[in-house]
Amino acid sequence: MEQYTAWKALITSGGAVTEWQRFYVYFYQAFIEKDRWQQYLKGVGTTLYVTAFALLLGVILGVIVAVVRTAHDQQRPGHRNPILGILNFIFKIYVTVIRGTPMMVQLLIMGFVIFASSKNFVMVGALTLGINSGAYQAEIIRGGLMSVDAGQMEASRSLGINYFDTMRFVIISQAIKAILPALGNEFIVLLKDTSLISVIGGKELLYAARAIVSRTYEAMYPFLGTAVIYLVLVMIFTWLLGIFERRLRTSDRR
Amino acid sequence: MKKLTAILLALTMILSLASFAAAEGIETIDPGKLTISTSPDFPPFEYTDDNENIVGIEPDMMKLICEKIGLELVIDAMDFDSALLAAQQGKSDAVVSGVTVTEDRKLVYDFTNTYITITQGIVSKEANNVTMDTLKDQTIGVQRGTTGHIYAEDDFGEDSVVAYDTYTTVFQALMNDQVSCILMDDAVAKAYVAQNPGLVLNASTYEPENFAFGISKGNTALLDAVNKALDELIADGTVQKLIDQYMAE
Repeated sequence: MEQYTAWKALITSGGAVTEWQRFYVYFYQAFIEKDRWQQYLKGVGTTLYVTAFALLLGVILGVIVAVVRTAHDQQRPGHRNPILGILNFIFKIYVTVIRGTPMMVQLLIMGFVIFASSKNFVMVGALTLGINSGAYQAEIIRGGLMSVDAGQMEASRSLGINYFDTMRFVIISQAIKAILPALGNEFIVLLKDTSLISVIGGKELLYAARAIVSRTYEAMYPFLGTAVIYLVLVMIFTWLLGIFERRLRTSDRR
Repeated sequence: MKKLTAILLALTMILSLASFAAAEGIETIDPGKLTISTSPDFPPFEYTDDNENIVGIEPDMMKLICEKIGLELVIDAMDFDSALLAAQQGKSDAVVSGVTVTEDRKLVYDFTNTYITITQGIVSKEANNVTMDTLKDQTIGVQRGTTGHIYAEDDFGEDSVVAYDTYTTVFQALMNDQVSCILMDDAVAKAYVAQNPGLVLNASTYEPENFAFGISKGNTALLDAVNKALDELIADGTVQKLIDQYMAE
C-alpha cells in the first residue's frame, strides 16, 4: 500500500521508475486499490449466470425447433401434416430473423423497445442471448438429426417404440455425438457474447473493466485482465466439453 | 521536360510547406493537422447535425483556434470514455468533449485555460421530480467516464448507478423508466430537457466544474498555441457569442 502510493507519486511526477515499479503501480491500481477485484468477480458471476441461463434457453429452443423442422422435412411424400407445416413456417421465420440481424441490434431492441419498462438489464440480456443462441443451435441440432440414417427411425418404430422414446433413446443420442464439437463452438461464442450486454446496462465483466478504465485512465491492465478471465473461462468450458465427449465415446471401440 | 516537372514538383512542395508556416514548431500526430477526439452526443457543446457534420460550441471554437494557429482541424467521433483514452494514448492531439478539469485528469492531460464553468444537474421525469435530497434512493443513469458517473459511484455506490455508452441511450433509459434520474452537466441537461417535454432539471450541490480542452501530455508547444488563441477568442467575446448562440437554440 505505502509502496503503491510512493511509486504512484513518482510516476505522476515524471520521475524515473523501473519497469517493475510501473507494472506494480498499474496492476495495483487496476485490481487491488479500493478492492476493485470484487467488481471483476461480481462481473464474472453475472457473466456465468447469463451464460448458463442463455445456454439452457438456447438448448430448449434449439431442440424444439430442430425436432419439428426435421420431422417436417422427413415426412413421406404425399403425407403432409398441416400442423407441422405451420410450425415449420413459424420456426423458419424465427431462424431467419435471428440469424439475419446483428446481436447488438437485437440487444438494443430488446433492452429499449420490447422490454422498455424492465429494470432487470441482466435478465433481458440473458433472454436475448438465449433466443439468439437458440436459432444457431437449432440449425446445428437439425444437421445432427438429419445425419442419423432414416432406417434407425423405421427400425425403432417397427419394434413398437413410440416416437418420443425413439427420439430420446435412438435418434438424439446418436446425433449428439456428431454435433458436440459444433455445439461446443456455439457455447463458447455465447459465453463471449455476454460481453455485449454492457450496452443496455448489464453489469457483467466488461462493464466492470470499462468502469475501472474510466476511473484510472489506464486501459491496459483492466482490459488484459478481462481478456485473461474470458480465456480461462473458455478453457474450463472446453475442458468440461472434452470430458463429456470422451464419455460419450467410451462405447465406440472395445 | 523531366527537369521542368522536377522543378514544378519542388515548387509545389515548397509552397505547400509555406502554407503551414504559421504552425511551425507545433508537432501533431498528423503534420499540419490538429486531430481532436470527441463524443458528439453532448449538445450544445458538440453534436451531429442532420448533414452528419459535428457542430456545437467546442467544434466551432476549435475551428477558429485552428485558423489562428494555422492547422487543419480533424474531428474523430467516438464514445466519451474512448475519446478520453484517445488523447491520452496519442491517437488524437486533444480531447474536446466537454471535459471537466479534475485533479486525476490533470495527471494525464495538459489542460488549456477554462472557458466555461458549469455544475451537475439532476434530470428526471416531472412525476418523479428527483432532487438532491431524494437522489440517494434512486437508480442513477450516467454516461460512462463522466464526472456525473464518478460522483454518483463515489456517493451512492456502484449498485445504484447504471452507466451507458452515450447520452442517447441514457435518455432512452430515463424515458423507459429504466433509470429514475440522470446526473449530468447542467448546460447539456438544459438542451435535452428543452427538447423532451415532461422532464425537469434540478440543481445539485456538487462543486462547480471547469471545462477545458485536454491536450496530450507533454505537447507544450500545442498547449501554448491553443491557449494563446483561446485567450484571444475569450477576450474579443467570440466564445461568449458562440455559447449564447448555441444555448439559445
